[in-house]
Amino acid sequence: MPDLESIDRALPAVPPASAPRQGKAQGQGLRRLRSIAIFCASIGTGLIFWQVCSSLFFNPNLLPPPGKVFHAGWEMALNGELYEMVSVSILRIAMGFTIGCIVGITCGLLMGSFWLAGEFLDPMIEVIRPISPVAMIPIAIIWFGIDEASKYFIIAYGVFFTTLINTIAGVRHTPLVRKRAATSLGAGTWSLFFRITLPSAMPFINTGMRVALGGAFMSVIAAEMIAANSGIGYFIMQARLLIQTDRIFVGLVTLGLTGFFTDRLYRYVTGIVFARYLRLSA
Amino acid sequence: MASAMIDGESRALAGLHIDVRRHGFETRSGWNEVLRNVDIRIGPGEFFCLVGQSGCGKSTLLNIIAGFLAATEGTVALDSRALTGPSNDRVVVFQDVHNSLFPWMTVRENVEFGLKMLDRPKDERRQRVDSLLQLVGLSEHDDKFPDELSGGMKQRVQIARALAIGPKILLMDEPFASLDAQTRRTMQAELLRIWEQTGTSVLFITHDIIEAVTLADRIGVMSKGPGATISQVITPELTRPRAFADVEFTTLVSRVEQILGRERAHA
Repeated sequence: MPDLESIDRALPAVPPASAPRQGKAQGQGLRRLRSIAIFCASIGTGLIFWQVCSSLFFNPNLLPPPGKVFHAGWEMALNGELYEMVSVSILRIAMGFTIGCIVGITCGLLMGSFWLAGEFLDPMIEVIRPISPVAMIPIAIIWFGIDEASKYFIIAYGVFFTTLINTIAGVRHTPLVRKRAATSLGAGTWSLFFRITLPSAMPFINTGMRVALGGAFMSVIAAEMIAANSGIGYFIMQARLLIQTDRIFVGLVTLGLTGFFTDRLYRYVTGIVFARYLRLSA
Repeated sequence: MASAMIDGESRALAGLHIDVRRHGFETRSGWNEVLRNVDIRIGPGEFFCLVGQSGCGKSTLLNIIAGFLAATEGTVALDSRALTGPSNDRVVVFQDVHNSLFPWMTVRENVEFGLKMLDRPKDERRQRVDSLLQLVGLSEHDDKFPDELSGGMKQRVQIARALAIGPKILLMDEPFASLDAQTRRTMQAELLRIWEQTGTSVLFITHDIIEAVTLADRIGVMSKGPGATISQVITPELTRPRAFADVEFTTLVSRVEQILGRERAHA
């Protein structure tokens, strides 16, 4: 699998993505089948590579083979440990992500719409933005303790900046002709904002949210490793203390799969909910 | 008697009166004058074409009339009422259909937009949109999105959307310039048919002389900037539909060309 996520993350503002067009059903079916085949082949090759590395080049105690990891994972799935750690981390991400999106998008809309607000707040934002969520963990713990609140804060902090920057870009990229067309048809300030500017910014907002979701996975794990007593990050840290490499790998694989499926779910849901806003401009 | 006089007077003042004494902007190297002494009257129901070379200030003038820009000095009046800012009594049809149509709205929703802004009841909106879609020949495409339409169809949507709210004048900024030659000819004929059916005045901007001669009641030839003005107004005495093969047609085209050419020589 090519790392699309990191390519996405490298871009500050990604131009609007297009919604899939309705093509011929047959061609689409074939293409779908092909992409599933490629996907399976890619994962399979990765597993074989892992197996080979583990049994031929490395100490299997340091790099446990996939079979051993899946065995450990299966046991954890049966005794509920796996479900417990995944659900805790997911819930934290969901809460932090929601808070971050609401605040980030709202501020982005304001900063994008009001010239003075944008100009005035921009330097402040640009100075705070390079401070990564991980760097905020110590102060978050002092402010909010080691419970849920500090995790929400750390995740929301990262999500805020990503959604903010993209929302501002979206608002500012609304074509002048589109705004003029609406004004010419009698749209006032409010209609112009809610019916034209906001929908025009949707592709950017959507991209920002998706990139922010990836970032949320990074920051929650870091926060859980440093100060928590539950979650995937905490679990990996515990396994390290006991040098249970197979359990560390269970944590890592779980993390990868959870991130992957969350992104897929996000794209699936937004593909339906935002479908009309993700269309190419005419 | 008195009422007849008032009637006669108001008729004389009806329509669009553009009186831009001077328009320009300050640059680092000084004052850049775009328009000077532009004085045109467009009567109710008239089809007025404005021709001029690219960059002469045609679009600037249209933006002033639409209310997107304020003239440095001068006024625009509709039915002798001075205009300030954009309003739905004069709707613009843009060349750039990609951006001017709302891509997240269906054809029907696009056409309905202006009526929604007027808070018209739902039934009335539906009826009005139905009749307009029929007028522009898009009845069967009402639930499509703009990205599913061809260039000519998009421009039909834009025309229907503009006409939906019954504006007094349509301001068309090179609407067919990005269409292929065949579609452009079809759209010109369609526009004339729609114009004759609705009786709306049209201000049509183009750099295509043949297009202007095909369409216009009167043609305003714009000189080249800086300080562009209407150097001459020509009234084609040709019956519609006008054919390019007619001698009178080609004579008129070369006459406009000559005026524009003279302007070019001056600059």
